[in-house]
Amino acid sequence: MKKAEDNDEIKSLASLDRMIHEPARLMIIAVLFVIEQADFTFLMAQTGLSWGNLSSHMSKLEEAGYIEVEKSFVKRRPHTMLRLTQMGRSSFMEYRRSMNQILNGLPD
Amino acid sequence: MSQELNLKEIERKAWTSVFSDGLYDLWLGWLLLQMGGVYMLSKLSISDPLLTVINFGTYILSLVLLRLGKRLITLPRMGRVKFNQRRQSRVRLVIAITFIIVGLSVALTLTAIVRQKSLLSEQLSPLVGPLLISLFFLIFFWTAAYFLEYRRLYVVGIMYALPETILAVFAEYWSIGFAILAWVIPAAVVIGMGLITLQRFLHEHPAPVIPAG
Repeated sequence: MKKAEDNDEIKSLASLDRMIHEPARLMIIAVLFVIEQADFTFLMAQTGLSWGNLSSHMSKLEEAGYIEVEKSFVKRRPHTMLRLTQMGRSSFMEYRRSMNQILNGLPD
Repeated sequence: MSQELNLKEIERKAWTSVFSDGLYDLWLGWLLLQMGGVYMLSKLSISDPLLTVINFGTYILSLVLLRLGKRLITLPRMGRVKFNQRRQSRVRLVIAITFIIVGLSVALTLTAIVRQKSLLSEQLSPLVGPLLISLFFLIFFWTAAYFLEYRRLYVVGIMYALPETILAVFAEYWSIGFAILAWVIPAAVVIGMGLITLQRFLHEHPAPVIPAG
């Protein structure tokens, strides 16, 4: 019985949201979680990711519905701002809860 | 718990990056230098209308240069960001305090002009006026430093408070050279702080390579 419970705890690791669990995407989501919105350049400066890398992760997050892209014109120049969707926000909070539970359960 | 702290740190770092270019420090240093310049010119019997034009002109020029710096140096390196409600309300609070203080200063100055005499009693020590001005600068900059988490403003506040106090305390040694030093040294400290911060910013944030299209 004890062994089965242990296995359940280990299995909970597999249920972590893989879209968020990837380190680069975790950085992006963490930054977008604490601010309201930002453009690509700001996210590059904050995360240290390259343009290509950031762009590729952004596409995945957008496809998953975790971020939304807001296109506008600033002084007649196209400008793209990114923000976390409600789904992205709640998924990140759920991810934090899961991680806390898992890590708090580990022996010292 | 540690996750909570890390997110706060991420947010704080993102916020303080707004001031990491040193341009506001350079601008505040310029304004301090300008105040000193206006003080000197007023001692050299330059007419009031000309003094107002010089003061206003250099102020507008400083704003134009600040905007240009933000557009050409900061924006390509740091990008644009909109912060959460908590930060936005703190910025609004500092703007409101600025308006109240500037409004109060203008009202007091106009009252003094209309009454054609100082608002402070002549029986008070000549130190009171300059000390009040210094206190006003300290309170203003330290309040802004606290609410904006812009720590260099604590130093800027001290530098703004120094010239008037020094000139009042050492009034008997007054000379044009001494007065210039009393303004230029604090302004140089603020400008120096801005230049070091800008140099560090340019080193840490080279212009990003963004593929065309």
